[in-house]
Amino acid sequence: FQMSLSKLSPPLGKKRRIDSKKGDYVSYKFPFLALPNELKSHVFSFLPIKDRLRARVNKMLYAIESDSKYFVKKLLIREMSIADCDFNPADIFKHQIIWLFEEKSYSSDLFKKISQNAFIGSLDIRLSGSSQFHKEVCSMIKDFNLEE
Amino acid sequence: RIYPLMRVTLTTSDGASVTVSRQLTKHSGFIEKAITDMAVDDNAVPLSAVAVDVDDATLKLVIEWLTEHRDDALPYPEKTDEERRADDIPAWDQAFVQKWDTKEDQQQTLYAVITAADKLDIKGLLDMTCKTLANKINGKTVEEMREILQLECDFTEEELAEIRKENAWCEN
Repeated sequence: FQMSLSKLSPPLGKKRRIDSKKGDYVSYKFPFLALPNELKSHVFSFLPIKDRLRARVNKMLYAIESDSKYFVKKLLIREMSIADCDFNPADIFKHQIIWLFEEKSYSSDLFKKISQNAFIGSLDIRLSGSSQFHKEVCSMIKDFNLEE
Repeated sequence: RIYPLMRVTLTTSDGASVTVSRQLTKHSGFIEKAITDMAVDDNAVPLSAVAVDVDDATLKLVIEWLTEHRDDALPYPEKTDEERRADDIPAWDQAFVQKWDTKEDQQQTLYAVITAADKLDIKGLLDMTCKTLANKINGKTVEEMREILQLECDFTEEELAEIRKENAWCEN
């Protein structure tokens, strides 16, 4: 993905004249950044959990994600071999799912992060292993805000 | 509830004025409050205009949306403890946005409408436009998200490595 920002928008900071009579200007520069924080947070609130966490693309959005609570009706966490992954795209309408692959290594930090801000209707975790990572994840389950 | 005052004049930030039905403005918390604050009696004495901090072009879009949504339920059903999703934008709203949310526009109008919906306190329009923006970044790579939101990466290498490590959960 090699398209530069300059191709997508006028040079940063360049202003566009919108009303020549009144001399009002609107800036092209970072319109998202210009939104009040509660609106940025509102936009985030509509993202599925994975995109929400991935959208922490700069310090400001990292802070906004950390500061706002959200609700996930049903979260599934599955660990399996890449070869066995049987994700059905239709399922995204039923629940949100995080895949962990046996072939990869993970940090439990994200799980902790989720436990701090998410209210979760039901959490369904299937992990297979006895590594430090697995122990950490298991010990964190009690920290979740679960509906039942 | 009956609205004896049937029409209200709005003045825009760029000096235009437009008269609209209360059937539309009842969905705007800001305008309804402005009318209430003026304390007009039920016999609809001439009402001074309500000044809105929205430009004429954006207000026209807001009115077009309100016209379609004039019969929406009030108060707006707030979903506080429900999972939020962005895949339920009605077809009319999607077509409405597509008319002006063009590539050349670079989301300028979308941001203007989001800001207007916030200022005028029109919750349905605010939700719809924020969902539209969420849908633009949903499922995109981190680099694409930065480009769509026009944000620069200001993390240090260490912070970036830390986030990548955390987000390994989210990259499948």
